[in-house]
Amino acid sequence: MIVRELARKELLDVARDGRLRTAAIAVACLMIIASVAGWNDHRRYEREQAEQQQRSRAQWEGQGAKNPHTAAHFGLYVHEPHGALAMIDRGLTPYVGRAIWIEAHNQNTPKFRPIEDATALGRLGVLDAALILQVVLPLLIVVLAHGAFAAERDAGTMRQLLVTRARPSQLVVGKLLGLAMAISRVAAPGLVTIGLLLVAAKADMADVVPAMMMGVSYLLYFYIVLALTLAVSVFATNARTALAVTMAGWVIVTVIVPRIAADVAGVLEPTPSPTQFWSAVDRDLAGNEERTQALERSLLERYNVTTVAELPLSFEGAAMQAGEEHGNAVFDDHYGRLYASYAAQARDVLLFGAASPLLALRAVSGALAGTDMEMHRAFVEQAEAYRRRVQATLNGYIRDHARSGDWGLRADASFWRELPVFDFERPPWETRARGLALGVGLLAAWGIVATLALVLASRRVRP
Amino acid sequence: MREVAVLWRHEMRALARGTGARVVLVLLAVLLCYGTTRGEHAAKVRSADQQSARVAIERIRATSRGAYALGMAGTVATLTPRDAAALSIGQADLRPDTHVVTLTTSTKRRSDRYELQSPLLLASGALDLAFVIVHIVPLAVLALSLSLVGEERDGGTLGLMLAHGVSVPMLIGAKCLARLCAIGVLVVSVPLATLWLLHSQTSPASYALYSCIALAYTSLWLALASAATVFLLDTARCALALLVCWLASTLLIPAAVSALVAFTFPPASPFALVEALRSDAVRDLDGEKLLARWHGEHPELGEQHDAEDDHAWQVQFALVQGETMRRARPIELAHAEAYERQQRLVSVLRYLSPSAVAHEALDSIAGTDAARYQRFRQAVEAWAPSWNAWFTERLLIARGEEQPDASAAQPPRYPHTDDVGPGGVVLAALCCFATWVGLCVGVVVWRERRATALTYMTVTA
Repeated sequence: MIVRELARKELLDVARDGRLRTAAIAVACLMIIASVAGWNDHRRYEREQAEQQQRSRAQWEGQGAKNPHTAAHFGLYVHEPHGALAMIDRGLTPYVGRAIWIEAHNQNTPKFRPIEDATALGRLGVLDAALILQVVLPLLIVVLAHGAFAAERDAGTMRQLLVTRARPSQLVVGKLLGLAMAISRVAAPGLVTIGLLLVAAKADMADVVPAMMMGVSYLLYFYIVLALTLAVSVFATNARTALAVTMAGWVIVTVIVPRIAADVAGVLEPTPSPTQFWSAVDRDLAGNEERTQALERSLLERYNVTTVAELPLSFEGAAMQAGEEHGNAVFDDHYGRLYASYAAQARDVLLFGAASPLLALRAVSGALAGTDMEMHRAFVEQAEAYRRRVQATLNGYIRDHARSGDWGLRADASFWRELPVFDFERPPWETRARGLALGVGLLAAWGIVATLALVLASRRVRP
Repeated sequence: MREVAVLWRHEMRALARGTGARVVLVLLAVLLCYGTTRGEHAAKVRSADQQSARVAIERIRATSRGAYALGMAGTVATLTPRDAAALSIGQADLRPDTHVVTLTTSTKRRSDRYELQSPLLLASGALDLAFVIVHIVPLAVLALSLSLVGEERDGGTLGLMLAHGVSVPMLIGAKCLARLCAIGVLVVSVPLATLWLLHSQTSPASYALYSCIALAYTSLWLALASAATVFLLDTARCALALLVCWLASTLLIPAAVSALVAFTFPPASPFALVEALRSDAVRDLDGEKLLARWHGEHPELGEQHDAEDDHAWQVQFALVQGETMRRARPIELAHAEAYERQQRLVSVLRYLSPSAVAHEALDSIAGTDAARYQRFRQAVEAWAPSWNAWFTERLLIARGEEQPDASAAQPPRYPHTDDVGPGGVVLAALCCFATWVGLCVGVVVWRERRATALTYMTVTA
């Protein structure tokens, strides 16, 4: 009962303070604007991706009669779609390529990163709901909560509160609940907007569980910020000190630690430069002539003939497929190491989550929204598997339908249509969730630390 | 002025003695040193990578014979790093500074394989000197200027000073000057010493421009702190207001402007070029017809190429690629125009965020600004057809095995031009900062005229 009264009193204090009201309205407006901006961007992106995917396929099917290997070089583009939750947290999507060119001999890198088409300001920040929820709302929490105890003490009202029948722990819980209610009122318009936009973006049932998990993660994050701010307010000598400490904490958590974490990760796990990477790939791909000669010898022996012209298959088709298979091993090796370095960087950054709960939240939020590196990697791997299937089919057609040395073979539209359509299957959230263990663990650890701080603070409440 | 000098000396002593101020300044110095080292290292890596790209191409060229092979080996067009590249990584981690130009179209150039940088690191950004100046220096200013007047008021010395004819603007001016000296010495001397130790190529002129921007930007935040102090009086509110200004300037306004620009002028679809190059019209380009047309236009060269030999195929290939480049050019230009439209709007709206202006100025001094990379890319796109044309011409006049050794004649070299210096951007930034400082000083003076001594002595919670 008394806790409810205290909570109501805290809520009333916030509502009566005109400046806080203004700040709350500003944050609510920002959340709505950011959500709409994220939705607009997501909608444009998805429309463009879907159209291009169809056009690329139509071009492939309409390329007319030609040699399958010529078609393999013409290739086709496959595009990475994103789920509806990407409009809330765009994560790494502006920084990864949107499409991959599927062609013979090469595993191409994803192309057309949205950030390349953005102006220089795009590097300073991407406006989406996650930015407001991760950075701005915690600042509002700090502003609302830093004086919860310290300001009462400065004004002398703490003494009055302590002589009532309320126990210090009840005071802490009451203030926590009151402030939580105030913050939920600030966030409510933005959250309703996000909900409506998710419906407009045709979010399906597969998005419901990740969306709920995202909601829980953000709630935990807000709880951590609020609880730590209240603890500082209890321990601080006055409201000014409480504000200084909590603001410094906010700056460290949201600005300094993330930047240092990324920098350290880059130093510990350097990404090879493009020249280094491609020189190494080219070096490992070299020696095609020797491999072809070896293949020739082995085929001649296997079919017990003396010239390739006598082979019951097209030697060129078999040689190209052998070349593809060698290339596949080389690409697996180099891309494997490249993506392993990305994963190691992500892990190193996440370890800094011990110093900043924001990093843990970002990892969890990005993974649930499907905008993290793991989702992109899944796309790259599926696209590459598709490329290999396409090349094997095209080379197989040459091998089985042409004679050695005959480049006059032509395949027509019916054959192009036989090739399966690329359909990116997003890994289910259960699979993605397995990779979240460290992020969730760190968030939970922060939650425990914040609760302990609050418990400790409740024992130190003083007039 | 004498009072200001006395106050300034006192403030300098107070800053030197204050533990909090010392911690802030030491941390700032460490970050400045780290940021400079990081920038210098990144610049050296970029230079080495450019050199590796040149060596790789030279190696291919050395084993290539004939016009076709040399044309396909290509040449490296590089964006020469500026001497002050260490000052800001800017867009250098995102945009390619090396393009390999070959006989083929841009979709096949090796620069398209540039997209290997870690997305996570790109999203986070680098902790370079520009970041420290743009993001951390304002926080240092904020930490040191929390109580420009409040400290004196709480200590009871404000009344004494006012009674001795020291005005509040004078007091704030002296305090700001002391803080500008303390921070200014660090932002100028620490990177300078670090660059000297690292044997950097940064020229005195570039460093002078950097110093002007860094000092002007620091002054701007001190001026904002002064204006906040005289209006809000209470230290906590003042700090909060400054933090909100910082958040808006460094993050919210740039992000909002970026979103607004993308909404007003949506970026051109990156697929337009791909679409055009894969269209029926381009796909059906017939090399034989193109070759026949060329022979029709140049009857003086007489003998027709034999359609069966490799050389004829090479000529046709080069002709088809050249024709494709010609058809792609309008799309490249349209893409550039769409970007320009966005950039024009950004160049107006960025003045809302002094941090964005400072960042752009520092990038511009370092030669890592988006505009420079955009100009470089456009220049390469415009020049690539001439490489194709030069080799195609040699292929066309050749006869079968008698291909001339194209390396004997000098193939065209990418005409590196970097005609736009940072002067304009730096001047615009300084004007922007001066306007902001002027506004803040105006606010302080205006407030002083309307205020009484009691205004500064009384603070309502």
